[in-house]
Amino acid sequence: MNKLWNGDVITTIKEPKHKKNKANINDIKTGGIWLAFFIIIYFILFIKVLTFETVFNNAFFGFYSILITVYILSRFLLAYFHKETPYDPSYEPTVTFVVPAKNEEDNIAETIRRFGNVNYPLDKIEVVAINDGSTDGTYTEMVKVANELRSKIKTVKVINWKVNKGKRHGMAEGVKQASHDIIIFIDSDSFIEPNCVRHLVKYFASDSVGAVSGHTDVYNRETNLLTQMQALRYYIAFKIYKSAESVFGSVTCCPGCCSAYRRKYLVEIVDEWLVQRFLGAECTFGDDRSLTNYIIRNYDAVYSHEALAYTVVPDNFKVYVRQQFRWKKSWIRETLIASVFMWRRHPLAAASYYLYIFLALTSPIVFFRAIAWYPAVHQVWPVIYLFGLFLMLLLHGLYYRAKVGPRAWALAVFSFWFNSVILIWQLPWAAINIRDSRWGTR
Amino acid sequence: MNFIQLSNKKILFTVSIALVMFVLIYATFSNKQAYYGYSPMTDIFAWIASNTFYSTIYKVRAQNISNEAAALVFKSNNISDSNEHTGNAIALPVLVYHTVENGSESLNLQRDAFEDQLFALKKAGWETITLKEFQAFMRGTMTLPERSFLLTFDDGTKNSYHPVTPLLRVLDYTGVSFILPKHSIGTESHYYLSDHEIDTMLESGIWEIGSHGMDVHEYQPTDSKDTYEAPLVNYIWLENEGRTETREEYLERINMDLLSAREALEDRFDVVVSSFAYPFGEYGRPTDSNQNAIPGAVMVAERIYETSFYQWRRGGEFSFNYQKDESRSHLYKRIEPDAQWSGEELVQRLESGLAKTLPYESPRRDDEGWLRNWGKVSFANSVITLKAEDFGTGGTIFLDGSGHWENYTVTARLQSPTNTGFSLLARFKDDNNLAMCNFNRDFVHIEQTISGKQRVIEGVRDGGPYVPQGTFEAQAVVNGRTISCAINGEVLVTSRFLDPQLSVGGVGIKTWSPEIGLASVVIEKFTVEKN
Repeated sequence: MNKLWNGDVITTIKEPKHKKNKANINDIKTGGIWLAFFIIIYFILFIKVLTFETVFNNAFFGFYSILITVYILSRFLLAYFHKETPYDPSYEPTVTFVVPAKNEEDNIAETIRRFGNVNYPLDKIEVVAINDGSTDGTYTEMVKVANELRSKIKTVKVINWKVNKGKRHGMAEGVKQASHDIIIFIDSDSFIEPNCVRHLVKYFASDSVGAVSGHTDVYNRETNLLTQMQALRYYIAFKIYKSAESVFGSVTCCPGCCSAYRRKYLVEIVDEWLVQRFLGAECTFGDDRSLTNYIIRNYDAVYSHEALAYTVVPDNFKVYVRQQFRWKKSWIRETLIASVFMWRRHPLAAASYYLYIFLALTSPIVFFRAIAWYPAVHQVWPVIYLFGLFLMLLLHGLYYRAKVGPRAWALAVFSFWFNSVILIWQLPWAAINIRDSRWGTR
Repeated sequence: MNFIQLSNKKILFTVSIALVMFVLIYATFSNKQAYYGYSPMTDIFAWIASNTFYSTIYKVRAQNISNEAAALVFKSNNISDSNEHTGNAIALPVLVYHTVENGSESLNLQRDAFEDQLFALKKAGWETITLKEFQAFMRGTMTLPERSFLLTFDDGTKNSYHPVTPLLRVLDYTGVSFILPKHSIGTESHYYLSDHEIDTMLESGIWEIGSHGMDVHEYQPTDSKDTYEAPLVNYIWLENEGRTETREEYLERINMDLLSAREALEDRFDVVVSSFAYPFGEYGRPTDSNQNAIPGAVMVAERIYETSFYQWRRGGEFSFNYQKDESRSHLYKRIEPDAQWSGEELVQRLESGLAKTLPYESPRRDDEGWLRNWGKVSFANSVITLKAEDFGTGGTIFLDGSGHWENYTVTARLQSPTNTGFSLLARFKDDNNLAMCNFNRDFVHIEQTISGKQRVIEGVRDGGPYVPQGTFEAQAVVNGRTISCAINGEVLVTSRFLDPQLSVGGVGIKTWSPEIGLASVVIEKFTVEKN
């Protein structure tokens, strides 16, 4: 585990303050990275000012280019202004961990074991683990670690299903079996940090909050370039994009790897969620997104950047592509559903949301035109487009590097750019295949 | 409920960053416009990159040249110890370029060839002058060093400016750019200079501007059948009225055009625009492609502009502009270097056009400035051989750089292998204004051509044969208005009534025979001495 995340120690609560008395070479480098960050913004803005002139030549594409810049830069700006919420030591609601698992014998023990190592009164915790028709030793591992855990936690239930029912059913079962106030869903290959619980539950002190998303980092970051690239994407997706959504309590997806829900609000909608159908087919993926959507109809969903967890990501390109494909399908479905009620939320949140949909739908068109059509017709290489795309991704990469410290980020940026270019075709293809309910990776 | 924290520190930070961005972008943007107009970013980056790269190369090269120049004494053509050789210019060449491309496959001038040409000029001691200096020189109110030239660029394109300026800067050269106001004022062209760029151009102190006409730089129909010609030198077709314009309408039209071009440029750029470059280099003389060109343009241009420039056709007249040629005091010719000429070639051509001093002796090399009007000429075997083409009747060559010679004796030792007649040309101004001693077996004539009309003004006949067999010496002597012709020292005919228009002029040789393909003459020695 990387030292940086080791700020959490069981006994202390606050992270140690950084000593200011010596100028660290890393500080200078970080300063340089931030300077580069703002210089990239300057270049991006300058190119947009120039592009503005040609907006009149080609309104659609000029407009798109300006809108996407506005969207992305506004995400950074909103994330910057997110409120810091300290946790209240007197507010300690009861908590249930729900872990559905299928064929996860390697990781499930560690996942569950960590529930006993949290910085939270153990008598307020209970655990519900569901073995969802595993064909390997998952159940055995579960039982073993549950026995260990019972020395610390009173209630540790292990539900055993011989036949696979699907993650959604597993989660729903967890909700039914839970008796405490806050339900924390953890994926079977995710590992939480000790302070995770405190930072997740603190937001529930206000009644309007229905769900809280934790911050998940990539556990197997060092494996290969693919995992390094995903580490960058995850970091940015949470710290910038989810944070921007959270400013208005409108996080659209509290991911299943580490999220908390208020059980009182969950039971209102869990049955409806369980039997959700879309275009005549049963919904078998995107459970976390879908659940969040039900909650944010009436309540707030927030992001807690100090609630840390780690998850294992695909290290194989084929598996990765299938996962992305599945995610795009759930994105299409849930985005359509949420757009029905999103306008009721805060105007800025709604505006961002609809703008995001517009950009996501038009990106493949713009991409195709820039890479294929325009060069074919005008014999011009799509240098400006690819460069602009690269600058945007470099911006994300620089942010990552500035915040997270020295590690192999440059290649990750290239990989990010490369993958964005490759995977942009998935969205139209996903739309065509949306009724295919197979998971593909499971 | 929202989770936003508008702390003062964060707001201050964001606002400061936004301000800094705004200022930087505004500054960059207005600079960009001043320097590059509305060019697309790809072009701008390409220019910045290539100019930065080339500027360093130029500096190195220029340093080498000045080191070499100190050691090198460039040999002038004017090897003479006569006290006429003062080192001051008597005639000036004007060079015209259009665009300079970078790495394209076309036959247009490429950057490396252009560099080569200008560096060679600098190395050989050629320096530019400004338009004002050119005009003063031609008025006779200024002296200039011998190797001075005016550097001009036509059409006001971005490619005639961006790749050129760094080179001019390094060489300490200046240029004149002939602008098309229609394409450069108030437009956002990616090809022509914008008015912002021209402002920057004028501020640099390296450039002056001239006019290239308003609408006359575009071909227009001259008849109902969609024949397109240059509208400055042709009557155009009036579509509404179904006829070609009259001469009055033509003169009125081009007057308005040239005047409006001048006014547009002077209004926008706050400079005096006193020079004009004829579009396509033509002012109305008949050419192969345009037999019906009309000569009204010069008359109109000279009322509006002090100086006007056309393109020299590489024959028929001297390549340089002579100071004391009153016949065409506002019409000047420009040499258009080939895109394929090396630097040495360009220098050689200019050297051979430099005003030559007397005494002069030839043949030396074939690149010393003999210009051919027609026929075939060769300089092999240390003799000048001039003959008719296979299907022609004769040939004429004249010596570039001799246009200012006044009173001299031309002596040629020659023979005609085919026993055809030949002429020694004297007081040659161009192929429509010259005098000659025309030697034939049966007669010797003194002829002069004024504005294209040729007349015999004196002659002898019935005393021949005047031209002996084998090698002999022929002479033409001009002194003031007297011209005499001699063979082997014996004066055969004299006239004292040479037209006053032919008061100065150079030398040449002509051969002619009514029989096709026969005329030929071989000159073993050709000298010109001052009287």
